[in-house]
Amino acid sequence: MTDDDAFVELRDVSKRFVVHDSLYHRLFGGREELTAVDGVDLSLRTGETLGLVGESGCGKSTLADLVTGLEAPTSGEVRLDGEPVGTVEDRPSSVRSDVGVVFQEPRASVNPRRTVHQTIAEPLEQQGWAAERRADRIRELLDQVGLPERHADSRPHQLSGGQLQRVALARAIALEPKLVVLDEPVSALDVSVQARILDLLRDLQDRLDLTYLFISHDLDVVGHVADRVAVMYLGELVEVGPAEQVFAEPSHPYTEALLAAVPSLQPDAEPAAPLSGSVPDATDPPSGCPFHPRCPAATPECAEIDPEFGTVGAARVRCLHAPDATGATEEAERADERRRNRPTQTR
Amino acid sequence: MADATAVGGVARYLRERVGALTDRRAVATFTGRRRNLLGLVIVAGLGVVALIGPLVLSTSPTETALAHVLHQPSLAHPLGTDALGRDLLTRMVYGARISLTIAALVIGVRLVLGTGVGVVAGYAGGWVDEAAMRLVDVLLAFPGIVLALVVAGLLGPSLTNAMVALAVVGWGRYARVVRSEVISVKERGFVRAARMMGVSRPRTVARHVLPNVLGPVVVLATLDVGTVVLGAAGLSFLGLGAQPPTPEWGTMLASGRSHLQQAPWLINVPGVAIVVTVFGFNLLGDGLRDVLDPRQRTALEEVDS
Repeated sequence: MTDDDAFVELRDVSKRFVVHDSLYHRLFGGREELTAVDGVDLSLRTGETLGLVGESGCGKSTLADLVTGLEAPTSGEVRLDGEPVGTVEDRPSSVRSDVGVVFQEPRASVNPRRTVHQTIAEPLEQQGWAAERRADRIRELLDQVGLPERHADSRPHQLSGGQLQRVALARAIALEPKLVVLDEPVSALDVSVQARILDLLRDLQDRLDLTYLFISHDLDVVGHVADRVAVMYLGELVEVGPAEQVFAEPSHPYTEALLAAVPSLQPDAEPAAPLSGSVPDATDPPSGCPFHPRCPAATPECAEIDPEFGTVGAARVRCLHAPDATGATEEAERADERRRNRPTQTR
Repeated sequence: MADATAVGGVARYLRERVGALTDRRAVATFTGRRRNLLGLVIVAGLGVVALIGPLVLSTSPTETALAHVLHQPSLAHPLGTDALGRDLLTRMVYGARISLTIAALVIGVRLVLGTGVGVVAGYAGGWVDEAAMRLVDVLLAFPGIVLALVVAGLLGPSLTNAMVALAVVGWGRYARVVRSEVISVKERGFVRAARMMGVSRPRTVARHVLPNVLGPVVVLATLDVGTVVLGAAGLSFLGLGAQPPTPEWGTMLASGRSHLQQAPWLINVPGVAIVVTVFGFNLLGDGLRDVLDPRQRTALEEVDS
């Protein structure tokens, strides 16, 4: 799992939230724990784009918050450049400037009362840059993200969603970070604008040697930008591998289902097949494999065994029935053996 | 015609002032409704009366003239005189100044107290939030004017004490509104981004949070003016606020009450003044809510883009 090239490393990271955490619920009960991220091992190599996909509510954004340090993991460790890091408050400013972030909703990601100049200047100001140096850098940044310089004095309500996302991007790369976390950066934009922002992202990555953690529920978009893909379900990773392999030959039934749900433009293609059922309640996750209640390939043992990762080609897959998944089949055999030894056990 | 240009001038002035606060679309929405403009005109008129009225009038609001007791409205006394021969127009004009001053001071205190508590509770969360909000719940559980009566009664009858009473019972709603706004704003991208850059909490609050929660607070404060004017007049009417011979509208109502049969203008003048003031501020507040309420604003944007 250790990787010398890794810029970001998550080691067995979990995040649990307490829901209903009010005085009333403390006194009279009803507090519940929700596991948003469950034992995630993941690394991002310098210069690559890792696409993180999954349905809404699967913990993608929480995982992003753990990387950016906006949330502290309940257990496990987040490493940047080999060093364990805490929340943003604990990170030294040199580490802080290594990570930039772009959020989903462009209207909410910039302060509506401040000008473009003020918004982009904020991280520079925070690092103690003098006004003149800031102005030069802001001109450079506006050019890099493709915004005309006259927009420096504009306020957000005068700009379109795509332009605002460019402003947010300029703010994110202002301090020349190594990693940019992109949390659904194009989901709120029109398709034509999406394409242009994606081009810009690729261009910036080439020029500035950026590492991207690209979060999206849109597989089409991820397919365009990602080098590797991590599929998340109910707080757990279920498949991690090179984008070509995961998209061409998905090994996990959930990945397969996600891909089948993407509508095709080919007229003679099979109609898109949406996954049946809904995401289980994260406060009460299913036993065994978290996906088994919705899985078309589920067998009785899936309800009992939470599978380990196995290797399929260049990917890691977490499914008992993954084709040639070495680890997984061993696990299944062991489970079979266990069942044979205890034939009376029922669920 | 003259009125129309005056309204136009006021609208232009407001457009400039508010333009700094929000965008042109919001101002167009506001000025597009006639009742908003009516509210604005009433409030502006009251402001002018309170500011320069006392400078223009040569008569004193407290000087008695026993030769002119209970005169009907006439040319010399357009609104008549009271039981001590004082000119009612003069007293009403000075009363406007007193009422608006009370409203400004009381609401200023409510606003600062409520916004402070609301920001701290919303931003800190956890037990701080819990404690502050339960205190606000207790405060809001009592009808404001009853609680103000108790406080004013305990402090003793005076205008200052009435103002203190009105201020301490009324900040709860501000705290609640500000807290919920802060909770929603602090989850937005720009506040999270500021946290990631290492911007300090006080600076984040001052730069990113406060400017984005003030819209609803301004609306609440405007709508609150009517309540405070009414509350102050009520306390004074009951003898707990301004004391005679202060030309306060509530005090004027109380002393005019005994001459209701012979001189109805004694209560009509302050009564109508109170009604018009409350009406004007409520119209203005409603209009401001249409443009400053965040939900309304998003609705506008969605239609637009």
